[in-house]
This record gives sequence, structure tokens and C-alpha cells, in this order.
Amino acid sequence: MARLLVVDDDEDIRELLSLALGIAGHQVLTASDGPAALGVLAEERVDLMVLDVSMPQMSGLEVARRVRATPPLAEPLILMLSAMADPEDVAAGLASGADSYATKPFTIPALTQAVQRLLEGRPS
Amino acid sequence: MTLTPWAPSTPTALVAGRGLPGVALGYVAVFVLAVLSVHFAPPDSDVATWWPAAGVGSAMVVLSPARHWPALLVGILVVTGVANALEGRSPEIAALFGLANAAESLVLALVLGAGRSPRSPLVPMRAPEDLPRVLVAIGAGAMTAGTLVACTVTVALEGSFAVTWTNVTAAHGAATLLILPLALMVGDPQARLSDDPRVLQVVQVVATLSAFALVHHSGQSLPLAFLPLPLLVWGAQVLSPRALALEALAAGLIVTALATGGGGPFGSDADVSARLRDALVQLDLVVIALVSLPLALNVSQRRAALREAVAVGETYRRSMTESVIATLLLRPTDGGLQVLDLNEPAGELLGLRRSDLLERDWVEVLGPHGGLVVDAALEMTAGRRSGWEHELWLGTEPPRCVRLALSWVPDTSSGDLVVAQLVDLTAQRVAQRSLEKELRFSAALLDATTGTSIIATDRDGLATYVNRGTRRLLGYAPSDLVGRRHLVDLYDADELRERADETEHGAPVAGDWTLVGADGRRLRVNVNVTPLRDAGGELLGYLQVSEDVTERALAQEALRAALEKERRAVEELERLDRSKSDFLATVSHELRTPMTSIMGFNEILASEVVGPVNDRQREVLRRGSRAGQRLLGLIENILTMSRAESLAQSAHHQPLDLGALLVRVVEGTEPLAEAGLSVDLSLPPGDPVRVLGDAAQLERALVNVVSNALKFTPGDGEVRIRMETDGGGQEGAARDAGWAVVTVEDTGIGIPLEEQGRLFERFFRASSAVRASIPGTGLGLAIVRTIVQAHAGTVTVVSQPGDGTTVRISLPRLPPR
Repeated sequence: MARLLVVDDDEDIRELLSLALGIAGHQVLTASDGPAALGVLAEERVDLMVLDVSMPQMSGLEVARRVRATPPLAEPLILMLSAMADPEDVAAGLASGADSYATKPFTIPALTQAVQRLLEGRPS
Repeated sequence: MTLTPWAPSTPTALVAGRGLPGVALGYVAVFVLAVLSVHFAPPDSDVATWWPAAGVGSAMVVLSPARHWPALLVGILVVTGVANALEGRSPEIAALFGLANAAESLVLALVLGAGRSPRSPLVPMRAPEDLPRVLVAIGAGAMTAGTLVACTVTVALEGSFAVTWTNVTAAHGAATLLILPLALMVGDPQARLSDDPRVLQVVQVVATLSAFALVHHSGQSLPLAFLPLPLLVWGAQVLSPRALALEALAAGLIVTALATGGGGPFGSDADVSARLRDALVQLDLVVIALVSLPLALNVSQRRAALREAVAVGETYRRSMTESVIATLLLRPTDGGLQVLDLNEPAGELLGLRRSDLLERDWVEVLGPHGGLVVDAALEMTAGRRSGWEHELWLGTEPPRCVRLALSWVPDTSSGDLVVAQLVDLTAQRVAQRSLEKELRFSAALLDATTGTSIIATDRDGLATYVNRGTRRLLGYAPSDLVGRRHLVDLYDADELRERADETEHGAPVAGDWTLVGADGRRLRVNVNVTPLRDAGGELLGYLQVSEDVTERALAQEALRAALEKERRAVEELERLDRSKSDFLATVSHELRTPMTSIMGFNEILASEVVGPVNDRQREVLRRGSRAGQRLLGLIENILTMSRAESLAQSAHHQPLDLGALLVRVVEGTEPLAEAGLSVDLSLPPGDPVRVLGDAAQLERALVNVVSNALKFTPGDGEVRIRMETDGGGQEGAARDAGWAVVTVEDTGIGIPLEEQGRLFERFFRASSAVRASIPGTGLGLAIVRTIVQAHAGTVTVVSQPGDGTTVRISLPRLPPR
């Protein structure tokens, strides 16, 4: 069982992911924007973040950069989730510190599998 | 041979040359001669028959400067007086005779020198015309002496005045006539000239003197006094004047001596009185002198003139032969000019041998201008002109240009001559011609450039040449500028000051400048100033070439404005494009996100994780999902379409292997095919077929075409996909490597003919597809065309309803690597 943080400004997506990943057996925290996510990370241990890119206030890319640039914060795996699927967007996401990049629309099985693969690839 | 011109020497020089010894010798001669004369005087005569002392004394005076005359005259008086006294004459008589001698010499010298310049008082003895004065002087002197002596004799000795006067005058005159000319010839080289051999001269003198001796010797009494005269005439021709004078003197001595001794035609005739005989002898002497001297002088003069002429001729001939100027001597003939002589340069210039030219008519050589030259020579012959000069081209091979100068030399030993001198100007003229040609060409060239102002200046920048273009450009005529205006005067003074760092010596070197035209109009001109130097690098002046760029500047400004406008438009478009892209991204995000949620929640429901789902519910969920899928597909296609359009001009294109891409597409779309459908793919053998493009876009286009074929072809049908190459330079031209053609041919349902024209419209769906309930957005082929066109390719669709459809995509092929 892993502790996951779902960061998305869209409430439906937050709920969908919480439900789906919860069903998959993970403990899921949520944050509706970047600063909130950083706040959660400062207090909670998180194994993996599902991070939306297009968010008001602070983009997912910025959040990922800040997480990677702040050692005291735990170093969670980051699965970036975005509606933008151009290679440039993927490259930008990975460059900001994401471990993987998934595009919207996604199917529930595909997403849970992606999360599972990331977690398994990580040494416990 | 050259002649030393002889100027009569001054008496000073003569006396100074001989000095006191000469004077002393003179006195001795006077004394001896006087003593001898008195001694041999006939016993019945009061005076001497011959008185050579008078000649010597007078000669001494004449040859001396006037300031010495008093002393000389006193000397003569003393010497002759003493001589008379010694011979037994009373001192008074002797003194009076001496006085007569001195007076004679003085009168003679005065008459001889009368009217002559003190600088050359001496009368020359060169020509017959010199004689009269000498004769007059001698006569005057002799008569003076005769008068004084006759007076003395009449008063003191009671003798006859007339007889004494006659005798004395004759004695003095004849003696002086034989001696004085000789004295006057002293120092004159011309008087020594003779052309005949010395032997002949000696023979002549011996013969003449012998003749005189024979005629007058004591045993001869026939009147043969005329006999020696031819010999004297001969002598005058053979001997020099001086030698002849000496001969005459010697003859005079012989005649006098022998006649006094009673010999000769004047000696023995008893009927003739002694006094008359003496007078006749003296007359004979006068005849001797008068016959021989003028003739000798005449001959001598001619001889000298001839020598001078010969010398002049020689000088002339030499100056001609040695001259570097081509010279010909020509003799006018009837209508021609005969070549008498020519020098070497003339032969060279005319390109003919001397022997070819001599005696020939030169007019033939002259060619077309011969007539002109002959006319000029004729005019000179007629005395209408003395010289003629003309520049002409000779008919030589090759033709030569000469300056021909003719001069008229009349009365030469060869008759009237024309001297022709030729100066070769060929090289000069040829050079001049080519230079002129070049200059005319340059000037024509400069003037032809009417759109450009060209101004040449001297070193100070003063205009020296102005072309026609200058008038057009600036309104200045050449005469307005040449020699009047400096280059800098044409410029806008303020600009010159402001841009001083771009000038050299105060004048612009290059660049765009403002010139002020004649009417004050300002124009923008592109200027280039080049220094002109001669071959040695010496600065000659400057050349300013200027071109009106006012229009160019305006055009540039217009172009710049247009570009700016276009740039703004492009920026605006880009901005719009960006906003469109942003909009699309936003839309896609905003649409996809809820769709993701809908689909996700649906899936969760269907997976029964959150509760059991009965079959009816499951069917509802499935329909919802399917609608969601369709909506997502639509969104996807709209995005693809937009992206393809915005990428049309983008630089994402890279070389890619179209065959490999096609294989991937066919493999990826295979699951769409109904079971039993035959799918066939064929690629051309050999090198990979490469095109320039965006891999993702082209893949999308191919996927759309292939998936269409698969979707619209039933299971028993057939889909043939093949790639071919078409055209292209056999020579492997880099630009045009031909086409890569992908053909997708199916045996599907086909498209109704009336709908085929609308196939590429967005959202258009063929009725056949709709009827067959085959899902689609109506964007597939529109996307294909957009992408293919963005790759400079073409796409065509050929369809037969019920039989199938063939889609052909052609893309420009890259040359094989």
C-alpha cells in the first residue's frame, strides 16, 4: 500500500482518481492546486504524486520543479497527467522532474497500471 | 677645306708685328734705293728716272697708324735728304727733295685713308674695284712730289718745271704703283692663293722675266715692248696676286735697269730724247702694273669665290648625307621631280634603295599626293613661294605618314633645285589615331551613361570634364562647370559639415550624399570619387561618378514600409494563431477533462467495484461509453486538424523513411480489419523511399486513409496498399527526385459519384457510410488533404460506388542517400 497525492484543480478528476486508486488499494491524499500540494508534501509522507499540468496559480511543471528543488520535502515519484500530448509537452514535463507522463483522456485500468509500474520500479 | 675670313688688319697690328726692326729695315731700303736712284740718274737729268724709295716710304706710312706718321715722315725726309746730299746735291736741294718725299707719302696716305673708318683705314687689295682709290692716291702723291721737286729745280737749278714735274711724277708714280699694292697685300691670305702647280708658277715667272730681259736687253732695239704682255696676262691667271705683284716689281726693275743702260725699245733710238725715253719707261711700268694687277685681282677673287662655293657646297653636301633627317635633292622636270641625290635616312624612309631612286621621278614614289607636291614645286619654280610644308601619307608599303618640307634652292651648279626633307610621323600618328579612337570611345561611353553624372577634375577638384548625364541629373551643362566649379561646390554645405568625418580633403569619397542641382533642387545621390593617377602614380585629379538614388531611396522606403506592414500582419497572424492554439489547447483540456471523468466513472461503475450492475444497466453504461468515445474521437480529430493547419508552414519537417512509416501504419491499423479481409502491402525494391515531413502528421494521414479502407471494406474484400516512385531525374538531380506515391485501393462500398466532389469537406460523410452505420466524424479525408498539402503533396480519390475506392497520395521524394 502506497501513499498517493492526487493534485488536480478539477474536482471530478480528483474524485475519480481517488476512487479508482483507492479501489486499487492505495491511500490517496488530494490537493486542488500547487501550493496546497506543496503544503501536503511538507507535512505528509507521499510515495507518488499524480500531478495535473494545467492548473491555475501554479502549473504542475512548477510544482514538480519545486518539489525536486526542495530536499527536505520527501522525494515522491511524480506521474504527470496532462491533456497536452505533444512531444514538446512530454519532454517539458519530464524535464521538470516527472518520472512518467500520462495523457488525458486516460482509462482507469491504464492509469492504475501506470501508477503500479512506477511504484514497483522503485526500490522500497 | 675652310676659308679663314680675312679682315684687313689694322696698321697697328702690322707695325706692331714687325716693330722697330721693320721700320729700320724700311728706312734702310728707302735710303739704299734713294742713293741708287740718284746714283743711276741720267747725267743730263736733274732728277732720277725711277724712284722706288717713294713706294717703300709711302708703304711704311700707309701700313702704320696715323699717330706714328709724324715720326715716320720726318724719318723719310731725313733719309731721302741725306741720300740726295750724299750723291752730291747741295744740302738745301737735298732737304727740299726730302721734304717732297715726305709730303708725297703724307698726301698718298691721306687720300688712301680718306673717308675710311679709323678702325680699318687700310684699303684692301682684293678686287679690281679696290684699284681706283689706290691709283688716285698714288697719282696724288706722285703729283705732290713732282710739283715740289719741279719748284725746287726751277727755282734753285733753273731747270724746266714741266719736264721735271713730268719726270718726277712718272718716276714716283710708276715706282709706287709697283710697290704699294704689294705692301697692301701683306697679311692677306687671299693674296697668296693659287691653284696651279708651283712648277708652272716658277716656269711662268722665269718666262715672263726672261721675256722682259730679252725685249729690253742692250742688243735689242726693236719696239717689242708689247711682247711680255701676254705673259703678264698668263701670270695674272697662274700666280697669286702677291706673286704677280712681285713679278711686276721685278719686271719693273729689269725694264728700268736695262732701259737706263740704253737697251730695249726705249734705249737706243736716237730720235728720242733721254727725258722722253725715261717717261716712256715709266709709262711702260704703269702699263705693266695696270695690265697685270686688275686681272690678277679678278682671277684671285674668282678663285676665292669658287673655293668658298666649293666649300659651302661640300658643307651642304656633308650636312645632307650626315643628316638624320631624310633629305632628297630634286630637280624639277616637266611635271615631275627628278631625284638627284638622297641620304641614307631618305632611302630607309621610302623603303627603296638609293640606286632605285636616283634619276627617278619622285612623284611615282609619292603616290596619291605626288600631284600636290609637284604643284608646290612649280609654284616655287615660278617664284611664288620659297617653301612648302605638308603632312601626308606616302604610298609606301606599309604606308608612312611624313611631314614633307620643300625648299627652293635656285641657281646651284646643278641648276634650280628643290630640297625635300621628310620627318617620319607614322608612329606618332598611329599612336595618336588609336588614342583619339580610344578617347572618342571613352567620351561616347561617358556620354552614353546619361543616367549617371560623371565629372573629372584636376588635382584641386576643379571640374575638367562633365558628361551629359550631369545635365540630366543636376541640370548643369559642361560649360557651367568645366574650369569654373569645384566638386565640393555641388554638395550640400551643411551635410558636408555634419559628415566631415566621411570626407577626405573636404570632399566625400563614397556613399549617399545630397547634391544641389543648378536649380537649387536637392537630390539624394550615390557618390563614388576615385583618384586618377598617371602611370607613375602621380595624382592627376579625381573622377566623381554619381547616381541619383532619390527614387531608389523612395522605393526602399516604400519597401521597408511594406515589409513592416507585412511583419505586423504576420505578427498579428502569429498572435491569432497562438491564441487559436491556446484556445484549442484550452478547449481540448476543458473538453477532455470532463470526458475523462465521465468515461472513468462509467468504467468504475461497469467494473462493479462500487456495486453490482445488472445487464440492462451494463448496456446503458456501454452506450454511454460509446458516445463518450465518439465525442473524444471528434475532439481528437478537430485538434489534429487544427494542428495540421498551424503546422503547415512550420519547420518540423525532417527526412523520414516513408516505407517504414507505411509498414507501421498498416500494422497499427490491422485490428480494425474485419476477419477474412485480405490486406496486401507492397513496397518498391532498393533504397528506402524518403520524404521530408513531420512523421506524426504523415502517420496520421496514412492511418486515416488505411483505416478508411479497412472500415469500408467487408470481410470478403481486399485492400491493396502499395508504394511506388514516379518520375524524377535520371541524372539524379538533387532538386527533383520525383514522387513517392502511396496507393490504397479497396473493394469496399465506394462513394456515390455525386458526392465525390465533397469528399474533402470537413464533417462531410458519404451517404453510403452513413447507411452502413460505419462510425466517423467526417474529418478524416479533410485531415489527410490538409496534411498532404502541407507536405507539398497531392491526394486524389477515385471511387466506383459498390466496387471500391482508390486513394492516391503523392509526396515529393527526397533523393536516395
